[in-house]
Amino acid sequence: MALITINDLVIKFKTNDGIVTAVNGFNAQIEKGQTLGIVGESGSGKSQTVLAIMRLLAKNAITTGNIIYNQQDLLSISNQEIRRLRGNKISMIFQDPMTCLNPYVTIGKQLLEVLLNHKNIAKNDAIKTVLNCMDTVKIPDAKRRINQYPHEFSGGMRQRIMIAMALLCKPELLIADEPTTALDVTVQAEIIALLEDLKKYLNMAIILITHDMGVIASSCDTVIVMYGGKIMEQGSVDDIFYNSVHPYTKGLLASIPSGLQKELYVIPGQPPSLLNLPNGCPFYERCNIHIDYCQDHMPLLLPVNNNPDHIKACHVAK
Amino acid sequence: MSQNNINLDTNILEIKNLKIYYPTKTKNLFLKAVDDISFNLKKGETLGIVGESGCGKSTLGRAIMQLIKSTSGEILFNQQNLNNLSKKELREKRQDLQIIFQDPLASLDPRMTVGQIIAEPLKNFAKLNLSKDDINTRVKQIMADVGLIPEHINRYPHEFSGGQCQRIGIARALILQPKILVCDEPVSALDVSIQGQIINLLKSLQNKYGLSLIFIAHDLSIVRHISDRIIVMYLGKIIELSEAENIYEHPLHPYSKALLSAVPIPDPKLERNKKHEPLRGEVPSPINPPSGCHFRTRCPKAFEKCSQIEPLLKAPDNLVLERKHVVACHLYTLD
Amino acid sequence: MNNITGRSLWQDSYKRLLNNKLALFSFIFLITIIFLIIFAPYITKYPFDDTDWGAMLQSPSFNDGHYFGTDLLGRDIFARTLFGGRISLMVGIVATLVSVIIGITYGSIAGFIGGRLDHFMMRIVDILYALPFMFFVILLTVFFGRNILLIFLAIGATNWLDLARIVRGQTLSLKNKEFIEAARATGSSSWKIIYRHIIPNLLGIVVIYVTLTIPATILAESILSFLGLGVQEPDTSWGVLVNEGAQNIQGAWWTLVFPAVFLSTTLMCLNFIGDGLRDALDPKDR
Repeated sequence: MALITINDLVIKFKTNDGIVTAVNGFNAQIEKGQTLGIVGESGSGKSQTVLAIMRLLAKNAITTGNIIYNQQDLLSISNQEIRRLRGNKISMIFQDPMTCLNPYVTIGKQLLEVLLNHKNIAKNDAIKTVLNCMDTVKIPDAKRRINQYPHEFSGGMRQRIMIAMALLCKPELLIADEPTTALDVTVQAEIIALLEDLKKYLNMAIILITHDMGVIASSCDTVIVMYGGKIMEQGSVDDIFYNSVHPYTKGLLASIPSGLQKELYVIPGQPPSLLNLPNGCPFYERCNIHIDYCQDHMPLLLPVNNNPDHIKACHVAK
Repeated sequence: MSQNNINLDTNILEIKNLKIYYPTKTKNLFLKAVDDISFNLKKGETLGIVGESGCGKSTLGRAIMQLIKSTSGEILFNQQNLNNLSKKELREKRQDLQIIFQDPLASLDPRMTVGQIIAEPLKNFAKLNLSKDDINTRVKQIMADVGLIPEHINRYPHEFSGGQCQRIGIARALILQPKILVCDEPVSALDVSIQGQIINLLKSLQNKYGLSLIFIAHDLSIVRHISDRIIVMYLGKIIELSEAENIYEHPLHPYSKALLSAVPIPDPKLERNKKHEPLRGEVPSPINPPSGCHFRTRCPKAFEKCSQIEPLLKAPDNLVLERKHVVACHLYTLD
Repeated sequence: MNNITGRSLWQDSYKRLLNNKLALFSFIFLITIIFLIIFAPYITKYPFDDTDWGAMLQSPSFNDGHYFGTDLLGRDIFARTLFGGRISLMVGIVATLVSVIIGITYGSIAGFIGGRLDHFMMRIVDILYALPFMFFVILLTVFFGRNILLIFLAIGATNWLDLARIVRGQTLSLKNKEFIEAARATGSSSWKIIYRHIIPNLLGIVVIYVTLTIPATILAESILSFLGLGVQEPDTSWGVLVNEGAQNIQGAWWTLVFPAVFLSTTLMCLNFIGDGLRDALDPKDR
């Protein structure tokens, strides 16, 4: 049984320039103990999709579809109920820890706030839990550093604090939106390893958003490739890397520099404008195997080689 | 890699014992952003500089561009020390050294049109004696060269995408036909599919204009692709320097090895079988770096000598190598 | 995306401003008032300084042209209100203009050059700030007598301090932006950078500030005139009229109400326009 099932999610925004379609039909099942990677570029809709799970979209968002968790539709439960879930059963960490931490409050206080918001325990017990959590995410010298301010920590450490904050209440789902993009490569490796360990330890599900195919390969079990608000291809990590069929996925894989090519392979053109999405496949203009049919007809997600777990949305690719 | 234009005998830029120290609140304690480094840039080559945050690579780039002042040392451009020039002489030299920045949109004045932005360097050198029409023509020409539509000359930066903004930055940097182009993390803020476009553009422009490139980045795979030689920096020091492929195939310094093994490979099977060996501890503060070798506190192979004597950047004593390869590590010194 | 001329940030802001109904309405209202003031000689039946002993403190009437009634000396309030508006607005605009020019120059130089020069220049501002405005004006009046030019001088000479501080702050934050570094890298001298890059990017704040200081200067002049330190008879300003009107309120409400309404409406319009501009120029919306 999937932990979370997302059905036909469509997210539009009312703006002064018109209606922007950020997500145009997203379907997925999130399983416990598995990492789902969502990869895509600017305008692919990956961030908006996960914000919808937490009901953190902007006020001018129009959402249709449903997100089923614990037999409830997260999109229709009350504000009070979703607040009880946030930070508790479903947690999120973001790209830039500095802007997500209050610079004027010690990290101890910020961590305590999250814990005491959701759990009715005595302050002393709460502090013990916080220190434990800091040890688990490998923040050294926790007893002393609990009283320090965010700016006294390095980027990697701040990301660990964010992870600690997200895991204090032992969530069932952790959403990580580009958690290592702003970090150095060595720190990134440590954070990814840490998330792996924590996932096993808590048996939680992770949704990992990134644009880095290397990160996907090293930490994800299943992968969704998004473009222009639609899922282009979806499957196990091995399927996506070794058996991909969609021209966009193949383009992404081919653009990874390997030092051997004379010239880097590029996908020509620009990411699409979300105000003027075409009727057909959003990737049409940049696709090297498109046919006329693709321009006006949206491709459906269909299995590749009769494998129901590996699906693609393309009229041409087999 | 740039083709055939590398003149192995000419150094267009020579950095000698460059130090950039910042004073701290404590009187005799300095933040050593760049701590006594020396290297050369050959004419026509692309020199990659990699390292993590705080290693000093961006500071180095800006110091070469004279956007920040060096504390001591020489930056010789065509045998002239840039650090000693007067304001006027320096401004003249700016025609030959240009820079492109990491954040494409932030490096463009939001209130100027693209045409005005690209034309600004031309207007700064009045002796060129260009008429308005001349300037217009040159701007449109370079816009076409970098892959922009010349008719967009009157548009504003916010109307362009990230990749296009970076092209504008490149156009502005190249309109004076400089000899050296410093690229400070020029593609880190761009989408993956756009990064390749910009890298390819830089390579073709390098060939066309005969540029020598200094490419500063933390993305090792991109640096490997574009560079002829690579410098690896750590806490203000050069710890390894060699040809690009060599650094990747045969890294010598433990830090270089750790850096390379930390890069996630876009291949699930290889990743699953990779052993993850994290570096101990955190990057030390550049105000009070460890004695001897700065890396020793995190190095899995550190021994007693490492805390006492600072290793010099030189060829290994105990290895026979095919290509020129220098490293600052006691594992490779004999005595 | 077919237009060849770009859509500048100014044009974006202009569009946003036009959408702000309150600001738009205030703007139209203000223009109307200014219009009336400029064409006063053609609209008013009586000159502003013409005393008429036969029509003292006459209540407003449409028939004989005294639309707003007359004051203690039989002078037409309508004409005097419009004429007084001339002085008040002129002081507001000219004094603000003077302070803007001084403020921008001073603040941008201090902010951009920085270091000791900045420190020194700002300490001067601090000292001048401490001088009580009233004291300064009274001192000037004592030495030079009552003169409308003094009002310009006094207000202009003190208002620039605020703007200098604001401009300096903005310059400091602009100075570290990458496009300024880029300008330096392309060989622009400090002066060129201040002129080409810093000042155009400051104008947003300056424009907002100006629409908010004009009311403040008009008010300052009104207070000075109210206290008897401003314009000389027979010239008048809204402040003077309000003063005179306040003395006659018991029997002749029109001597106070009309000038006061003009004064407060103008101030309100300027404030609404200022608010509108602030919202329109908000960089977050870009």
